Amino acid sequence: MRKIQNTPVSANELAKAKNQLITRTLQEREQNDGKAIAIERAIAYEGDAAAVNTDIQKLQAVTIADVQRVMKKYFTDKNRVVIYYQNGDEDESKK
Amino acid sequence: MRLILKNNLLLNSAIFAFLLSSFAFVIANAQEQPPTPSAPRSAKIPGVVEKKLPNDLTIATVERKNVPLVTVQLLVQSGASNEDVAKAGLANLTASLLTKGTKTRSASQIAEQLEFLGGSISSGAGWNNSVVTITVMSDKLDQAMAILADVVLNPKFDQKELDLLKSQTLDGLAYNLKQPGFLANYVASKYSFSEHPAGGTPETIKAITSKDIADFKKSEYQAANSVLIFTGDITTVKAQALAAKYFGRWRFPATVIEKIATIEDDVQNPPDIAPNTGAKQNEVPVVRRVLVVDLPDSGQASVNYTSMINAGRNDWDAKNNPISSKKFYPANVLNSVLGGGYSSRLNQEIRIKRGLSYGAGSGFSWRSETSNFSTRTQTKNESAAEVAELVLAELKRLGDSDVSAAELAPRKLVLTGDFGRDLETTVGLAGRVAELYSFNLPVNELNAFIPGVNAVTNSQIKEFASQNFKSGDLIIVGDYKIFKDDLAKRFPNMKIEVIKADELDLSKDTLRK
Repeated sequence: MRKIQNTPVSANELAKAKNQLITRTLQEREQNDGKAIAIERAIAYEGDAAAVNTDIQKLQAVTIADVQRVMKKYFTDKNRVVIYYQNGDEDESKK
Repeated sequence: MRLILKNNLLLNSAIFAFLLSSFAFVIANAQEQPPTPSAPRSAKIPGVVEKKLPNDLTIATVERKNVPLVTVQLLVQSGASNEDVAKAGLANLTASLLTKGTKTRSASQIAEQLEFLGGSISSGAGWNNSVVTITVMSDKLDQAMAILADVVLNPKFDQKELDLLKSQTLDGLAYNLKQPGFLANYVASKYSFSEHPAGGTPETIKAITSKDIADFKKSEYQAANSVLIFTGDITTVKAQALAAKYFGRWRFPATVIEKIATIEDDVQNPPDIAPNTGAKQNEVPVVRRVLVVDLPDSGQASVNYTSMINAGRNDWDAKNNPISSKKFYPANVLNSVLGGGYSSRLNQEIRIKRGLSYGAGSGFSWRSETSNFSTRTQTKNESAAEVAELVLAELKRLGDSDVSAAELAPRKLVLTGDFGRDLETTVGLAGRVAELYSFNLPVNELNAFIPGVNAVTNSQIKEFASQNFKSGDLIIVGDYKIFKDDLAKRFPNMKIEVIKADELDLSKDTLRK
């Protein structure tokens, strides 16, 4: 993650990520239930059902600089949660 | 800290459980009378355009332009039925190894290049076909086709990749052959259907060499024996041009290589085992034999009924051309009533009414001449015999009494609804087209599915059940000592054959080492 913050991703890496995301989005929208879910999310997250018609273009417009900017803004030490797992003393299910 | 967390969780789950139960209560009340199904809507069936390349490769295109995606499936009309029994699993290993390296691309390059396009590639073999499938956005199709053609025409069959694939397959088998459900299917292949298991056994997988793979590829993967299926956002003209560009150089071999085996050669009659002499004919009329595979310490028992069906997916017309079997649609509707989906009879009786299993179902594996029918469910060892009795009672009921119109209508809608939803995706559509080509059926059969299902009558279902469920096998895989007494009590006049799992040999007719 530090690497992405410090060094811009290559054009190829960005294109690959976009191709994968867009293909997956299209596959999710082939069937009616997938279309319904896409509209529901557009309303919930963007307050606009019609956002389903523009979100792929928006994804396509993301630049290398955008990726770096977002990585720097959100992936900060202050924002992180680290979870350490350890074995319990006894079988929890028997308590 | 931990204690607090735990208490909170408990409290939350208690509240949640309360909310859930009152919610469920409201729902149950509201839905005492399920709504009647609405009138069936006709699905829009896309047309399939067929063309042959000069090298005899068939091109089938279905244009569907709702999303900019294309699926391309190369279907070879050869599969596990064409492999040598001693090399069971060869067809599937061959298909799987195609994507693991070509003369110019390594396995990781194939994966990387397709990932870059946002696409995916998969390959595998069934009983009578082998397929390689890609799905990509339509503007990436040209690049993806280059990779598809490369893996089909120039595979390297690298020894290291084969060894890796074999060891993965062997690991999978070592695990799966200890699972009662998987083991029951493997036993059924040999015991009930006189087939070898298409996934191979540890012995046959170990025996497969890179020469076997190369030979199978050479004899079975031929242009004249294959169909290139395009579905989705593509025109017929473009599909045919891409097919010619990438697969046009796929040539006939110099001589027609004699096939290792054909389905016709392979099908033997079920082993002629003397029927249970003490059995009273009218007690368990649907069962001929009872086989227990004893898997000590198995947590669950798999209870399966298997029967070879006297009908293939295809029939033959007066001119000896393959046509859809008249039994296909009655069999499908019957299966939907019996064990297709959550509200089918088996699941109703075993799971919903009695809580004996997480699920029970049934299905056909279609073949060209005869086909394989099986029901499957898993239950705790204690209730294995009870579940067996329930399954047999449902099979008998299908032959004895009519399915009511109120039950039949929604079961048909399950089938036609699934079909319609399949046609909505490029992958599903390619699969439905591939199924027809696997049996050399005319592609306009796609239009026959919905009317075919809707035309099935009660009497056809009854007739099919009484003709085909009269001499099947009951196969139970589980911890025998737990259900031994109950099984003997419930089937007092049946001879119960028991084989210990560690004495099982799937390559022997006796099934024993």
